[in-house]
Amino acid sequence: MSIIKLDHVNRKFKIAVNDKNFVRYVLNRKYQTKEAVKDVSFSIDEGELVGFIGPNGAGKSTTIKMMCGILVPSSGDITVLGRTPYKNRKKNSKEIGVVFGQKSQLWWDLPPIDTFSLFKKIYKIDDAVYERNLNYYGELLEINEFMNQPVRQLSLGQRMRADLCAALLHDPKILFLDEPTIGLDVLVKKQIRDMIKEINCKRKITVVLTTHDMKDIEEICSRIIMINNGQVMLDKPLEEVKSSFSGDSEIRLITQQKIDSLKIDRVKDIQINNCEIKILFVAKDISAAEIITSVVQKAEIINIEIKEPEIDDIIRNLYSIKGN
Amino acid sequence: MKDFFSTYWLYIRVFFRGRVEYRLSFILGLLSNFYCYFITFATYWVLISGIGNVAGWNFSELSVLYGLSLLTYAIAGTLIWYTGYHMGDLVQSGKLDVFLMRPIGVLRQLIFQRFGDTFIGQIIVTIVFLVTAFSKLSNHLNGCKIIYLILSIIGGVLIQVASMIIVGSLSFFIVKSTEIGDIFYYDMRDMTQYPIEIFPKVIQYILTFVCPWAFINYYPSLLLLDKVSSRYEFILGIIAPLIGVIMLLLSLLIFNYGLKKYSGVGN
Repeated sequence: MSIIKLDHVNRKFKIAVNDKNFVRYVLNRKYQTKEAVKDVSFSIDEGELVGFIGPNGAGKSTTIKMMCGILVPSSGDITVLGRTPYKNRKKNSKEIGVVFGQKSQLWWDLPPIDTFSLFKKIYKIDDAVYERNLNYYGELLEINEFMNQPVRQLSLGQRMRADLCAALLHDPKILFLDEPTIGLDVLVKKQIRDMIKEINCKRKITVVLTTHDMKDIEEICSRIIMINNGQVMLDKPLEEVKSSFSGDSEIRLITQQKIDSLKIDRVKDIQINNCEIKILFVAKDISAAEIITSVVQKAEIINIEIKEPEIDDIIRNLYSIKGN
Repeated sequence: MKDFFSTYWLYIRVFFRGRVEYRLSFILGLLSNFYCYFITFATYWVLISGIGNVAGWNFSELSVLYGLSLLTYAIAGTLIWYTGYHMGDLVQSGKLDVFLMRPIGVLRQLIFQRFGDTFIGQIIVTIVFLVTAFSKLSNHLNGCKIIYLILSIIGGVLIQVASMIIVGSLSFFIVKSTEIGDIFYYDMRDMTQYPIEIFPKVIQYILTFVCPWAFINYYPSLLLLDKVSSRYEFILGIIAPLIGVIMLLLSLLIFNYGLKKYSGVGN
C-alpha cells in the first residue's frame, strides 16, 4: 500500500536576477522563475527504505519539504498517509519525523533531555510511550551518556544522534532524513545506518533519506530515486541500478610468460605491459571467468586482481550522462 | 488555552534553565535593561521639571502616559519581540522550516521559543514609576477606573504585540523588515510619550487612524486622568481596548497570509 504519492508535482521559485546596475537592481528588480521540481511523480510503499540522490540543487530538499508540508507545490498532488501535507500540516507532522542534517531541532544551551521533554509536550506523547521510546532510542543510539550535557558541548555526531531520537519519540510512521550523515565520521555513520535499518525492519517505519554518501545508499536503501534538474531521472531498486548501470570493472593479471597480443571480444580495453595485463570490461557484457579463461589459453597466470565498480562511479556516470 | 499556558510555562522553565548557563550575561542583561529605563525615566523627569508641564500635563500625569506605553511594550516584548519582531532572521536563515514541522501553530511556537527575559527590568522600573505617579495624583483610581486600567493595559499589549507581528510578517514579503518597524513603529510611537495634542492635527489623525499608537496610552490616559474634553475623545478612550483586539486579528491575517506566501501558495 502506498503511503506517499506524488502526482505530477511542480514547484517554482521566483528569484531576483542579479543586475550590475545598482540603481536598477534596487528600484526595478527583475525576477526569474526557477523550476526547482518539474513534473515529479512516484509513490512509496509502507516499509520501504528509499534513497534520494542527486547533485546539489537538484530539488531533493524541495521535494522532501513538500512531503513534510513545509512547502506547497505549485501544481500537482501530494498525498502522505492519505492526506495533503500542506493542508493538514499539524496532523501530518504528528505522524512523520523529520531530521534536517544541517538544521538542528535541539535547544542549543540545554541538554537533549530538555528538548525531548518539550517534544513530549507539544507532540502530546503519552508518558508510557515516551519512556519506552526514550529507553529504546537512548540505547540504540547510545545517547544516554550525554543525555544531560548541554547540546553546545556535544560533537556533531552526538548531536545528530540526539536529533534523530527527538524526531522518533512520537512514533512517526514515516521518517524523512535530509542528509543525516553529513560531516560525520565513519563510526557514527555506521551507527546511524544500523539504526535506520533496525527501525525500518523492526518498527516498520518507512524511511526516505537524501544523501551524497553512496555508502548510505548501498548499505541501507532498497530503492534509489535520482533527481537531477528537478526531474526524476531514475527510480529503481538498488540491485537493478547496480547491475544495469554498472561502470567498468577491471582485471589485472600477472602471467608467467610474456604475451605479445591478446584479443578478447566484448571487453572495452586491453593493455599489455610485459607480463602485466590490464583489462577493462563491463560486467553485463562478459564475466570475469570468461576473460580469465581466454587469458589462460595464452599463458599461465600467477596473480589475479579484480576491481568491481564502486557505486560512486556508477552514480558519477549517471549524473554526468543525465545531467546534460 | 489551558494547554497554551501549560506549554508556555514549561518552555519558560526550560528557557531559564538554559539562560542561567550564562549566569553573568543573564544578570547583566537584566541590570542593563533596568538601568537603561531608569535613566530614561530620570531624564524624562529632569526634562519635564525644567519645563514645568507639557500642555497642562504635570510630571505624574506624563509618567502615566509614558508608563502605559512602556509597560505594554515590555509585556509584549517578553512575548514576541525576539522571534516576532525579528521574524526576518528566521525567514532568512530558513529556521522557520523547523516550526512548520511541528504539530502546533507557528505563532504559538514563536511565543514559546524565546521568552523576552531582558524586558523584565523594564517592566519593574515602569511599574515602580506608574505606581508612584498614581499615588501622587489628586484624582484617585476608583473601582471602575481600575477595571478600565487593566482593560486598557491588555488592549495596549495587544496593539504592541500586533505591531510586532505585522512588522515581522512583512519580512515574508521583503525579507528584512526591521527598518520599516523602526520608522513606523518605534519612531512614530515615540511621539505618544507626549500628549499628542501638542502636535498638528494631521499627526494626531495619523496616530489615531493610520498607525493607532495613540490608543496604547494617550486615549486611555485621558479617561484615567479625567482629561476628556469632548465626546470624540471619550469614545476613542472607551474603544481603546477593542482596538487592541482588532489590531491583533489584523496582524493574524497578515501573518497567515505571509506564512502562506512563505510556503508558496499562489506562487
